[in-house]
Amino acid sequence: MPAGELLRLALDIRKKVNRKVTKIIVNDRIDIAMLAGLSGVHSVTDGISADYIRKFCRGMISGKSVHSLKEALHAEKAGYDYVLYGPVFRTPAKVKYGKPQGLRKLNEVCSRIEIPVIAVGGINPARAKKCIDAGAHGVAAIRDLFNTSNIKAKLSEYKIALGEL
Amino acid sequence: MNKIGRLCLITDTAIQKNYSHLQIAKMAVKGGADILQLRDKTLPTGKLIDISKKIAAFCREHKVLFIVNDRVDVVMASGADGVHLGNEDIPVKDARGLLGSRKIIGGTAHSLKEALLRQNEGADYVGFGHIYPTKSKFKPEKAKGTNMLSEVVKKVKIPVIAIGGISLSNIDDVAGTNVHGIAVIGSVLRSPEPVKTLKELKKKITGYNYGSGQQIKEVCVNNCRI
Repeated sequence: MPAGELLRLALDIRKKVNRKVTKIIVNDRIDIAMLAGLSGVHSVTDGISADYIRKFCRGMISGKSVHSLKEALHAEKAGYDYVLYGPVFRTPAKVKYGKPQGLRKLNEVCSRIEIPVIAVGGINPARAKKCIDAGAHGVAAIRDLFNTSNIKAKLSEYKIALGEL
Repeated sequence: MNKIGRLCLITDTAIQKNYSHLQIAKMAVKGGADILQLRDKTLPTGKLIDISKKIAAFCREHKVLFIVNDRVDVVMASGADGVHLGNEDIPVKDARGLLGSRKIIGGTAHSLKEALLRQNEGADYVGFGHIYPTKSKFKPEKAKGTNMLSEVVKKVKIPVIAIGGISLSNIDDVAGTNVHGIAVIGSVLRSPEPVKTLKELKKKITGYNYGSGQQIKEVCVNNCRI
C-alpha cells in the first residue's frame, strides 16, 4: 500500500477506535505512527530497530516479530517492549516457512524472556486459552477473526476463553 | 539550506541488475552528479536504513546531496539530506512537519497545476515528468514533452527537475527550456559507459544558464565539436 494511503487509513482507524481500549500499532513505519498519533510500531523481519522507535516515537510501544527463542532473546536485548511469537499452530499463510512452533516452544520462550509474548499463528478461542496457559501474555488472530460473519461475537468468544468476560 | 544541484541520478535496481545502490552512488560521484536519489520499493525497512546510512556517509564525504524516494522514516533514521515524494506518498506538508525546514523535500508533478500545488505545500523542488516515454517506471499518463515543461519552468518559482526518458539524444531540447535540472535513470544505468554518459549530461545541463535562456559560449563550442 502506498504510504499516502496508509497514512489516510491510519488516521481513519484512529478516529473510529477508542484508543483507551484498543491500541493501534503500525508495521514498521515510524513516520506513519508519528503523523497519525498511533500507540506503537511493530517491527517485522528485517524491520525497524527498537532504537529508532524509541528515538523518534517517544512513549510509543515497540514490538518485534520473532520465530525462535534466539530471536526472542535478541529482541528483548534490543529493547523492544513485546514480541510476537509464531506461528504457534499451523496457519495457511505461514506453511511455506515449515512446521509450526507448538505450545512447548511457546512455553519455553515465555519462561526465558521478561517482556510480554503475544502468540500468533492458527489462533482460535480454544487455542488462545492454551497459549495463555503456556505463559503467553496475549494472542493475535487474523484469519479466525475475519473469516466470520460476526466479528463482535467472535471477539466475545475470545474474551470468554481468556477469562476476561 | 543545501543547494539543489542540476544533475540527479536515481538508483534503480529493478530496471537493471548490473549495479547495486552503493555502486550507483559511486558512479554518481565519479560522473559529477549533484544529487543521488535512493529508490527501492521492495527492501525491508531495516535493510533500506542500513543501505541509506552507508550512502548518506559516502555522499556527505563527496558533497553530493542525498535524497531518499518516498520513505520519510528512512530519511529520519539514516540522516539522508531529504526525501522525494510521489503523489501516492506522504503529503509534502506532513513530511515537512516530521523533517523540519533543514531537510530537502521534493515533490512529483505531472501537470502545471500539480507543480504549483507542490510549491504551495512547501516543496523545495519539483520533479516534473515524464518528459519522454520511458521504460524505467510504469506510466499510465502520456509523456509531457518539452513545451509543457517550458510552461512549468516559467510559472513555478522553486527549482524544476525534469525526469523521464532524458538522454544525450534529447538533453539539448530539455536544457533549452531553462529547466533547473534533470533526473536520469535508464540512460545512465543502461549505458555501456555510465560515468562517461553522466559527465556528458552534466556538461550539457550546466552549459545552459538557468534563467537567461542563453547557452554559454564554452559549451556551445563543445556542442559544435560533437
